[in-house]
Amino acid sequence: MDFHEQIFQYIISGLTIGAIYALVALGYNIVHNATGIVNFVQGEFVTLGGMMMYTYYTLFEIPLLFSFFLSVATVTFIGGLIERGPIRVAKSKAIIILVFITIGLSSTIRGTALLVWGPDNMPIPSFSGEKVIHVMGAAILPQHLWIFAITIGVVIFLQYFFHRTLVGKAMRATAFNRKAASLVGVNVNYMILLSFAMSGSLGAIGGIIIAPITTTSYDTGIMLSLKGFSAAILGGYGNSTGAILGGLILGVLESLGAGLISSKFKNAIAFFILLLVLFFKPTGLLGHGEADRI
Amino acid sequence: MSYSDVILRVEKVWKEFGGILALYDVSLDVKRNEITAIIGPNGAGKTTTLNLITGIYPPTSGKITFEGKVISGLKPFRISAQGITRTFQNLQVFQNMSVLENVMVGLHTQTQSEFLSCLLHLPRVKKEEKTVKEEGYSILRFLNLEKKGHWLSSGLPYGEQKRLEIARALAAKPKMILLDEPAAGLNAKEIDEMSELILKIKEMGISIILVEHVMNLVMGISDKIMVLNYGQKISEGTPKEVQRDSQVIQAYLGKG
Amino acid sequence: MFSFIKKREILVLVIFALAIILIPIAVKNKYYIIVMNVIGLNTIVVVGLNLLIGFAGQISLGHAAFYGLGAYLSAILTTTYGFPPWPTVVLAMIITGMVAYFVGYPSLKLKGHYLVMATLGFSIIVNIFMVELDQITGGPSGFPGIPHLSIGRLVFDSDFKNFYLIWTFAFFCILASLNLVNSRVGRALKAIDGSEIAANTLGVDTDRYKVKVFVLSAMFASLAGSLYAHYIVFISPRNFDFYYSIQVVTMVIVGGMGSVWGAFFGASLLTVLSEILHVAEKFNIIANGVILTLVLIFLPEGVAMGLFSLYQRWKIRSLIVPPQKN
Repeated sequence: MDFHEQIFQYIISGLTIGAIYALVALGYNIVHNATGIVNFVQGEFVTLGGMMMYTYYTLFEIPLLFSFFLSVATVTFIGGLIERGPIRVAKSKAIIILVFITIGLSSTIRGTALLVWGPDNMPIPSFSGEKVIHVMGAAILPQHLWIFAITIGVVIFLQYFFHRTLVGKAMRATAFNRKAASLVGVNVNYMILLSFAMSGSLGAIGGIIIAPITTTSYDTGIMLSLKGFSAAILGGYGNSTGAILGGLILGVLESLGAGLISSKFKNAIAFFILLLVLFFKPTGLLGHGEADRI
Repeated sequence: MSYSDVILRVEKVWKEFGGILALYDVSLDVKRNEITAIIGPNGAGKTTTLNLITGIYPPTSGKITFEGKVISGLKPFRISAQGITRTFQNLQVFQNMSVLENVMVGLHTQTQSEFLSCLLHLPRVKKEEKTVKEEGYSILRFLNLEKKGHWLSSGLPYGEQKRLEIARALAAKPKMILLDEPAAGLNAKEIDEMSELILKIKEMGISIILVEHVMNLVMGISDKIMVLNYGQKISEGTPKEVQRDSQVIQAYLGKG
Repeated sequence: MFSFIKKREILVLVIFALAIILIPIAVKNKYYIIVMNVIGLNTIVVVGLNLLIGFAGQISLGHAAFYGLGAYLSAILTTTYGFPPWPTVVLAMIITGMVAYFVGYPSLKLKGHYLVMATLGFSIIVNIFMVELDQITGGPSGFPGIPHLSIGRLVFDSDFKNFYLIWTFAFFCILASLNLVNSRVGRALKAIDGSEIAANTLGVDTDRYKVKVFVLSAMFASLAGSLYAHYIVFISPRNFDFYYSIQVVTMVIVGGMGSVWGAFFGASLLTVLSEILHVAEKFNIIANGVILTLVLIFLPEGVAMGLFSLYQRWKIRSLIVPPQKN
């Protein structure tokens, strides 16, 4: 493979993982916009998505499409449960406490996953086989296409949801100004519940579609969650276009960095970028200066 | 620095937030040892003015000088070192500390111990602590709060928390103090007491800027009043002059 | 939390010192001594971290990195390059402090969760370096052969001797923290937590103070790391991963933010719990998670403070509600 083809290969795999980062970043944004909380459980949603898929599809041998929806539904439910349970019941509503509750919950879920499924990597078969497709010298798996297609589908759906449906607009209103939204009749509590549930769905979808390529295990979520958060910050925290852009850019930079510079420090790349953004332009690429400096 | 009549000068100050113009070409001379009030309808820019003077944010353009030195653009802690302290409209009492400790923080600029000396509890730290505690109590006595010195400040009733904020601001031995709606939420008796307190502060030689909605308080004790409306100065003068100004009446009561 | 505690605090410190002197004589079981040594090391880290979290109100999820820096700096400089151990402990603290300054200075200008992410990101990078710079650090299999600390001919090579070494340092760290907390600087830190804007208008250079307390907490962690390295004589990156960062923050929270003794209590409780669960290592993660979650939900002021403030609230209620019946 000559140099150009190699670059292209890196870009493809970068975009692939970048799509997952984007989904995770979107999940963070939805919860943060509605509540101001950074939901550290986001990463576990990704893990659970993959693990549920493994359970339904590989273990119980439920047909692909049903497994997919069942997995997403299960994790969506768990997302809602987290909001209804620990978050709602918490004595202190201070944001930093709630953020730490999500950290605690994420450890709890991870620990549970470890007990239920064990420490090993779980394989999941690709959605439509492993036959390599050659595009411009790069090797693309069918799964890559699924990832792009589903991610684009999700993004389109979210656009439609937030801009064309009443519920979506209500959520945006809540994010913008909670008091005003409740005064015009929006059920703010329901919006918050919905935001957690949706971030569950997004995380799950991300986890499911990447699992055939990377396998899944109880601690898949941590790195994905942290990098997804970096992507959200890179794109401009709270901004959905930013989340997608941030995710894709981060994925590509990581892939190129690992391929061209050093694969040993691959994981460090995402965090270097995170620190660079936080230190020099905390509002990110597209952020509107959300008061992140005191 | 020459001892001049004017202790604070706000010169042609503008403040813009995003697309919103909060202050528009506002100028004000605050005379030494006087009570200068800033009044106006809600959103007129009164608290913005206070925030600009204390350095919470810098003006978009214009200049603010204190005793001849430019303070606009400086960080709040540097401005307070020049001798300006304030209270807050939305009460910023340190809820996590006792009443006395709140006042002791006010004495921060009067003391010097830093990290290393405090970690090692050097003798001068011990001496400083004793002094600070005594001074703290005497300030609390001045404001009738010394019996509750050991109380957690969040346990004080609202009116006393407001007094605590003033005590804390006075502890810093300021040359000028900014009071942001000190009478808000107080009943008639408490308002009278606040009036007396502000006059007592004036007697101490401190210059006062007062932002207030309670008109009888403002008219009763102010030496000069500036009226803001929609970010602009629409009137300035003694209480009598301002009360008779038709523009002011219009701003408060609407066209009529 | 004021003057009447001062006298009681001296009594507590005396009892604490006596306990340190007497325990190794009374307790013969080596395993218990080892556990207490670990508690001691964690106490040093947690007491420092508490100054940052509990008093200044800033969160760091990166203290595993500072702990690790202390350990690796001491290990590498003394073992590979033959530096004298004691000065290296101090040197490690200084280097770690400088690293903390460079990370903290831009990070602490950021709001809450951004700071959390910055410190977390930093600590993951450090951990990756520990693993990948294997020529210097020994990589994932760890770094062995670290010399013990010694004073003259007294070599700290047993658990028993290290108990005295570690707990002497822990004692002085607690003492220093108590000094700091009940002083001008301590009040300034609490003021930053109470209302950063008000603190600023009262002359507190909040940015500088936040960075300084961050650096201080990093130096405490570095000290603990060096002691750990010279005690266990073997270190590996796995001891300094972000699980440890979460663990120490949990200890601060469970012990009660804003209480020096609470930090010690939290460190003790959770270290013991961790040891009990170590038997079944796979329960460690979930147990940590559940404890952190439950404490945060029901006792956000920490176990000790939560009970204390319940007591205070009860007391104030009985003061405010005067008997009206006649």
